[in-house]
Amino acid sequence: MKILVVEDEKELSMSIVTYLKEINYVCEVAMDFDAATTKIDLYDYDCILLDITLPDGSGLDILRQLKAKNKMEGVLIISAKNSVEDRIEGLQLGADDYLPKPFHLPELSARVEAIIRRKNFGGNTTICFNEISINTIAKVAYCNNNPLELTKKEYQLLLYFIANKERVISKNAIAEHLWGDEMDMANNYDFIYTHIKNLRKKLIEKGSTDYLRSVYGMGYKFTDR
Amino acid sequence: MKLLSKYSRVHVITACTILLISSFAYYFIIRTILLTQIDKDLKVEEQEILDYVAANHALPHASDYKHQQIRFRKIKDSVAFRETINTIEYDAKLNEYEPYRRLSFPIKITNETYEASVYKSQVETEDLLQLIMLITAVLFIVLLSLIFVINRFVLGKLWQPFFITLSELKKFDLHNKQSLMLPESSIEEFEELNRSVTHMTDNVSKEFEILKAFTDNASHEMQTPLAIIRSKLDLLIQSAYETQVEQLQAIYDATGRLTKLNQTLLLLAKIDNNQYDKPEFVNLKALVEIKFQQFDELIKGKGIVPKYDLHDVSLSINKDLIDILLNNLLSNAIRHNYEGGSIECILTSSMLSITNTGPALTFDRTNIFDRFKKGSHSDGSGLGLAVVKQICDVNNLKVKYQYLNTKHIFQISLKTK
Repeated sequence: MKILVVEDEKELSMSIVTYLKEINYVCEVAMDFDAATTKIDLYDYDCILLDITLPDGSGLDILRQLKAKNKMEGVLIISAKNSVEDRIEGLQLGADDYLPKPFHLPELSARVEAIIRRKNFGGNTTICFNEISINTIAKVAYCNNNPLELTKKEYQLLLYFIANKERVISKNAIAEHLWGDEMDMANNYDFIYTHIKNLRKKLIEKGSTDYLRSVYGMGYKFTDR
Repeated sequence: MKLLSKYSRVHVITACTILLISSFAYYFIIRTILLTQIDKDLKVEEQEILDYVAANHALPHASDYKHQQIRFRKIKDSVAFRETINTIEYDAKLNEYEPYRRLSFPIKITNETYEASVYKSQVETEDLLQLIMLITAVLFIVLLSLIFVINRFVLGKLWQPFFITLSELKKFDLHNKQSLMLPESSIEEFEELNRSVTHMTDNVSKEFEILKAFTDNASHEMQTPLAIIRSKLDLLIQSAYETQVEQLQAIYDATGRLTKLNQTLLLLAKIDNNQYDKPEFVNLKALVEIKFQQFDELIKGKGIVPKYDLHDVSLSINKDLIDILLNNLLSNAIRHNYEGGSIECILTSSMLSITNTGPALTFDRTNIFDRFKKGSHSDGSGLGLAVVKQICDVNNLKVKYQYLNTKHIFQISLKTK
C-alpha cells in the first residue's frame, strides 16, 4: 500500500512515516504544494494524507486537482484548523475523512486503513488476522468462523487493534478512539481496562490465541509474535 | 442626584436668598427714606409754628386735617423735650387706628410751657411700601418660574448631546464589533467628549480584536507542536524501557490536557466569532436521551442513579453547540458527583435543568462560569462551564446556577431573553 504524506511540518511527517512504515505501508513525503502536485501527477497512491495549510498553497486546491483529474486516491485531511467549514468543504471536494491535529498515530493508522479498505477492496470487506475475521459491512467479527458477540465498543476496539497490529497503543489513544475528545475520558482508564478484559475473554472463549498484551500498564499491543 | 436637579437647586437657592435679602434691604431703605421725608415735613410745620409764636406771642390754632393734625397742651417746664416717634391714632372718620408720625416740641410763651404735637399720617407710606413689596413678590415668582423653565427646557436641550452620548455608551458592546455612532454637536465641549469617547471605544475594540485574534492564532499555532509531541510519544512507547513508563504516561496525560485546553480555547474563540451561526431545529428530548446513553458507562461506573423527566421540546440552535453544551453539563454533573449519587434532568418547554448531588463549591458561586475557575480538587480544564455560558449567551439563553440541599442545579431557561 502506497501512501503520500503531504505535510510541511518535517517532524510530524517523519513521525507519520515511521509509524506507518512499521505497519507495512510504503510512504512518500511531500513538504509543499508543488512537490505534492508533482508527485500526484507522476504516481498513483492508495491514500493521501493532506495537510490543508501548506506554505505555498492550500491542500484544498490539491483536492480540486485530484477531482479534476478523476484520480481515485483516498484522501484523509489532517488539519490544524478543525473548522466546520473546512471539514465540510474538504468532504464535499471528495476527501474521505478529516482528522484534526493533534491526533494519535494509531488513530491516523486506523483511519487510513478504513479508507484503503473502502477504496481498494471493492466488494471485499473482510479483514482477517489469523483466525479472526471481521465483516465490516455487517459489523460482525468471527473467530474460527464462529461469530463473536461483541458490544459496539469491543468491536471498535478489535478493529482498532488489528489496524495497529504489532504496535503499542497508549491508553490515551484508545480512550480518544472509543469516546472522542468531547467526553473528556482521558483519565478514566478503568473503563478501557474493562472493555479490553471483556474483549480478550470473548476472543479466548471462541478459541482465539491471546493476542492482547499489556505493555507496562501504559498501553496495549495486539500481536501474534 | 441628577445634574439638572442639582443645577436647578443651586440656582433656586441662590436666587431666593438674594431676593429675600434684597427685598428686606429694599423695604428698610425705602421706609427710612419715606420717614425722613415725613420728618422733613414735620420740621417745616415746627418751624412755621415757632415762627407764628415768635410773631404773635400766642399759639396758633390747632388743626385737624385728614393727614395732618396739630395739637397743643400745657405741660410743666421740667418735662419739656423734643422727640419724634411713631404712634397709632384713632381716626374717627375712618373708624380705625392708623399709623402716624408725631413730632413733639416745647413752646414757651411768657411763663407758660406748651407742648406742640404735629401728627402726620403714615398711611400713604405704608401703601407705597405694600405696593413695592407686591411688585417685588410678583417679580420673585416670575424669576423663579423663569429659572425653572430655563433649567428644565433650555438646559435639558443644551445637555442633550451629553445624554445621547451616555445612552450610546451604555449600548456599546465589544462583541458587537460596531463602532460608536455619535451625533455631531455644535457645542465644543460635547464635540470633544464625543471625539474622545469614540477614539477610546475604537481603541478598545481594536485591542479586543487583536487579543481575540491572538488567542485564536496562538491556539492554532499550538496545534502543530502538540501534534508533533503526540506523534513522538506514540513512537516512543513502541520501544520504551519499563523505567520510563511512568514519566511517559505523565507526559501523555499532560499533553492530553494541553490539547484539550487548547481545543476549548479555540472553541471559545470560534463561538465568539459566530462561526457556529447556522441554527436548526433540534429535538432536545432525543438529544438528551442520546447523551445519557453516551455517558451511561461513566454514570454506571460511578454508581450514579440517573432520573429524567423529559418532555418533547424542540429548539432552534446550532447542533454542534447544543451537543457541546449538554456534553459539558453532563460530564460536569458526573465528575463533581459522589459515588452512588444522583443526576436528575428535567426538560420542559420553558427550561432544561440538570441537578446533581455533590460537595459544595470551594469558591464563590458567582464566579462559577468564569474561565479557569475550578474547585481545588477538580481535574477539569476549568473551561467547561465558561463554554456553557458562552453558548447560552450567543443564543440568548439564560443559564443559572444554584446549590440547594447539597445539590448543584444548572438551569437553562429556553425562552429566549
